[in-house]
This record gives sequence, structure tokens and C-alpha cells, in this order.
Amino acid sequence: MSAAAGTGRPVGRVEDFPGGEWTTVEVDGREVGIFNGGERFFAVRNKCPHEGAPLCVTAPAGTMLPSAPGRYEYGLEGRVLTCPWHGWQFDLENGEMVFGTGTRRLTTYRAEVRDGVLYVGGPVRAGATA
Amino acid sequence: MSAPIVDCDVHPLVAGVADLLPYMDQGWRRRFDGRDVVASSPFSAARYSHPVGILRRDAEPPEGGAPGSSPEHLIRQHVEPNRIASLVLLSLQAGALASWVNIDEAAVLARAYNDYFAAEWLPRDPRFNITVVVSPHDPEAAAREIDRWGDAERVVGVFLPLVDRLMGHRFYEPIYAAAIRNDLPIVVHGSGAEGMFPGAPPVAGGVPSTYVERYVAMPQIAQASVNSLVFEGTFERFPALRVAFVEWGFSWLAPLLWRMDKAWRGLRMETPWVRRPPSEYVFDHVRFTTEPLDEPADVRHLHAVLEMIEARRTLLFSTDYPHWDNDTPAFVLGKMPAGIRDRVAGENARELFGERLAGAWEEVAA
Repeated sequence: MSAAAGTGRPVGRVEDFPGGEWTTVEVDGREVGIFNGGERFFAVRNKCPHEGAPLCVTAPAGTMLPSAPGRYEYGLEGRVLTCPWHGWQFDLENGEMVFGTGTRRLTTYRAEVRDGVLYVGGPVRAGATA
Repeated sequence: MSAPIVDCDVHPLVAGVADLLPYMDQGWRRRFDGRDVVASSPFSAARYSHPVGILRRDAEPPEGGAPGSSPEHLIRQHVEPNRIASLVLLSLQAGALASWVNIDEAAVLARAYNDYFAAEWLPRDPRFNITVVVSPHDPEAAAREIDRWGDAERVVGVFLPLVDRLMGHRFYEPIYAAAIRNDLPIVVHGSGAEGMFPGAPPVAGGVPSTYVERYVAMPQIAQASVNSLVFEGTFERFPALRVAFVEWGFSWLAPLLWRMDKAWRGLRMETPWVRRPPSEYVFDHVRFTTEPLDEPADVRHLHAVLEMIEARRTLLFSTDYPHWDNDTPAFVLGKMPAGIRDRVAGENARELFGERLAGAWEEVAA
């Protein structure tokens, strides 16, 4: 999820975004949640595509992987965002709902640190590789 | 959206039993003091635990406490931004009385919950209305509790948590009689106890093993009681009885009524007190709420269902704030056909609850 060199707009210095937390900023009139995951940043629109719930409430976590009946296998650790309302889960790598649970897509943005400043690019289009 | 919106399902939360103690007499205060009777949920850890949690995490009040515990936060987060003109508070903690084993304690707690919400929540906002809970374990005591609220403003319904008797069973009749003499509808909402243990309403066919299975199966309980109310002749015994099934869905209603009407034609001799097609009783006496809205991929399918169930008079808007599966007015009313939108948004609710239902009607209309 790296912005092309020189693209994106500065939204703050890295230290403005505490590790392990969501911080919201405004980009083009839209509320964007920034999550400092330590080694990388995630940037997503803070609005669920279903009923508009604020999404940036809980830290990205993992989810149960499709598995055989009676088995639980946890995976995708740190990259799944769960909506606090209806429990829809989005893969932060691409904004898609996990494992074909739906076709709605969370808007994600490129986030990149350059010289201690966090830059957020335009929304990543569906189908684009991160 | 021009008609004032009435939200028929909002869940306030009591922080702890200490809040209820002032509404008990001295002996019962000693009996309950220090017991975690309010926080304790009928959701047993061994049964149906929600994979994430039933309360909206984003609804935690910034001043502290659990979602639903702060009237101010409810207004700030839900009532104002969603332009809710009037709302009906229903305590799910009180509904947990369905799982109580001691009928005297259940009656005392029901009374304390009702006094608490009337004293502590109603004065907070003129748009707030409450349902008063009754214990289903002692219908005579429940009737006395209903009689305490006969003249109370902004008390708009009797919340009846069900036990494992269908609603047409004459066991409940003292409760229906009291509701009618006080001009209140019966409001039926899940208590959380369903399917949990013997004595609670079971879901059909057997015991589901996960939250999602039980969640999907929950409407079976309402279906069974709609069926029971009609064929037991409850609406013939109590022509003024009105029942609102809150949070049981509605998309299942049409095929149920078709089956009831057809079966009645051929089997009427068995229940000759059912004088009219069953669907007529349901349309006249029973109401349903929008949440949780089923979401067919093609909205025309939803519109077809709405027409089949006469939603223009049977369907009431609800959010279920602050629970995980709540719906917003924009989402639900946006899917309603223009011709019935105002009916669903608030007019049907105002017909059901009548003059007692308070709301900021003029402000919203302006």
C-alpha cells in the first residue's frame, strides 16, 4: 500500500498517530480513519458501505478462516476490520468483504510515510493491486 | 421523509442493581443489595454468545458506562442525528425476568424497573416513552402491575416477556384483560431467554448450537404465537386486544397467513370460534416492526412482501438502538415505497400507541 512517489496529501506527522489506535482525519470532505499498525499504516473511509456505521472503532484483528465443520482456524491476523453494527468484516488489504460474504466494498486509501510525514492518497479502486 | 419518525424499539440500560434499590421497599432492598441481578444476562456462556458482542461498540458513552446507559448520549448519537420525533424505550434487562425462577422476586424487580425508568428516564426528554414490563410467571401480579400505570402519561405499552406457553394460552388472559382495561397494547419482544432452558420459549425443531442459528430461528416464536392467538380465539375473547411483535421480523408473515387462511377453510369446525379468515384478525389486531430488516438483493422483492402483509397498516419503524443489528431510518425508510413510507415511519405507531405517545411532532414537521 505505497503511494506513488510524490503523491498523496500530508495528514500529519507519524507521531500524531499513536500505535495500535485509529485516528480520524478529513480528506476531501470525507472522514478517513488511519490505523497505525506499527510496521504499516491502514487508511479507510470511516463509514460502512452497508448502513453508514463508523467503522474505526475497534483495532483490526483476524477472523475465522473457512474451515471444516467443527473446526476453528483463525487467520488474517491484523488485517480484518469488523463493523460495530452488523458485524460485516472487511479485508484491509483490498477493502473487500471477507470470503465472499458480500459484494460491498470498503473504501481504502494508500498511506505512505515519507520523511516522518504520513501521506494519504486517493481511494484505491476495486480490482487495483495494493 | 416528512412524517415524524417514531422509533418503536430503543433499549436503555440500568447500570447496576443499586439504581433499582430506591424503588424497592426496605426488606426487598436488603434482599437484592449486592446481588448482580441486573448485569447478569440470560445469555449463558454455555449457550448463545454473540461472536463480537450484542452492544454496538461505537455506542459507548464518552462519559463512561455501557451503550444505552446514558440518556444524553442516546439523544446525541441517535435521536438528534436521525431526527427521531418519538421513541419507545424497552428494557431488555427487565425482559430477562422471563428466566427468573422466583416469582416474587420477578414481580418486585418488574415494579422496580418500571418505577426506575418512569422516574429517571422519562423526565430527561419529552420524546421518551416507555413500556412497562410485567413478569410472565404470575399473571395476576402482572395485572396488578399494569393497573398501576393506567393513567400514566408516556407509558405506551405492556412489555410481556414470554415463557413456554403460546400467547393464545389462557394462562396469559389476566394480563390481556389488564392491558385492555388500561388501554395499552401488549408489546412482545425477545427476552434473551428463548431457547436457553426449559421454561423459556423454545425455537422449533430442536436446540440450535450457535448464535447465528438461533438468531435466524427466532421468528418461529412469533409465528407460533400469531398462529396461537388466532386459533385459540384470543381476539374473540378480547376484541380490544392489540399486540405488537417487536424485533421478530415480518417477511415471513405472508406465507404464514396464507397457510392459516387455507387451513381455516377446511378445518374451521375444529375452531368454530374463529369467525373470520385468520389474516383478518392479524391485520386488525397485530403489528410488526421493521428491524431487523431482511435485505433481499432486489428491493422489488421487499416491496412485494410489504404489499402482501398490508404494511401500510401493520408495520412500525424501529431501530433497536444500541444493539449490533440496529437499522437507521435512512436505510429502512429509503427502501419503503413512497406510498407507505409515512405510515411505516410513524403514523402506524401513533395509531397503535394513541394519545399517550409523546413526541416532538411539530418540530419535525416544521
